[in-house]
Amino acid sequence: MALLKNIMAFLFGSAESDYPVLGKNSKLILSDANMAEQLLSAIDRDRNSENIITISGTKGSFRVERVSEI
Amino acid sequence: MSGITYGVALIILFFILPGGLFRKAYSPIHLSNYHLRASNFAEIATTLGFGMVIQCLGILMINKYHPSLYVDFRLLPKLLSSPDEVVLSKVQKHLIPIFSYNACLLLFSYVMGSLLQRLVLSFRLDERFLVLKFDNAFHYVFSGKMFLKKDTEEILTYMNVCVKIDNDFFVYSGFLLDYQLNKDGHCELIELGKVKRKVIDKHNTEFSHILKKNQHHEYNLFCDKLFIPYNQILNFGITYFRVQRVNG
Repeated sequence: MALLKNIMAFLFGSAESDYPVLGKNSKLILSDANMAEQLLSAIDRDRNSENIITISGTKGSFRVERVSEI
Repeated sequence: MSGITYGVALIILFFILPGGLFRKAYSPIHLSNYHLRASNFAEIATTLGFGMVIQCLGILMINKYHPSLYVDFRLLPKLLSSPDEVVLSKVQKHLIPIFSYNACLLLFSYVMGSLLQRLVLSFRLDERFLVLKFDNAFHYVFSGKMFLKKDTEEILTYMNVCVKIDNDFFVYSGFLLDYQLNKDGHCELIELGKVKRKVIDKHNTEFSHILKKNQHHEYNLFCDKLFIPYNQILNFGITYFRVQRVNG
């Protein structure tokens, strides 16, 4: 069934985006109010530094690092 | 039909259609703002080039591996110049194999284009080689995928978007959830989540009075998604965050 779905999506195109902006882990973080709040607080607290934080919630723990290579 | 009419129809069928389908499959609208422009010689030449390569591959495969079918392209110059009754009757006799061959070739072009696109995206070849880079700059700007170091990582994009509504300037800050492109491949709409709104300039006295009274110069918006039309955005800033699951 999954194979058939993939073939159908391949031939007719999928209504879902093939190139989503949000990944699986990012979706988990944003869907968990507690983790999203932890992340937003970290962003507000430390806007200008290259910070690495670990946030935890019911859906797991995630390491979030601000990209500094720019 | 005259030779010229046959010629144009044949060139479209044999070269432009396979090349166009290949390019369409390789660069869908999410990844490209390319669309065929009749006046653009480079676009037509590229499409023709791809079409010829695919046609050559098709002829080689059929002539070498098919036990009974044979693609006879010596008929093509005759059709292009002055098709006589003998040539036309030959084509007429083999209409079904000709149609089947071209249908298979079009499907092959589409599959090849899609497969190449998946390969390029999987191995991130578009970030290494300029020739493979997709036309849609928004794909790279919004995804921030060039900052990924490992396959297990993801990029989470946080945006500050400045919007002017009447005489007030607002900054919306939130995580980029998605964006939509219009039919030309240009950004039309962005979707933000966990949004905060901040007023940065106020000329509308009535509204600023309400804001001052409630002391809500910066406040969270009670919504799951905020849709902002791209043409209303004055400018935007992006902060990328690398996200990785921690074991344990």
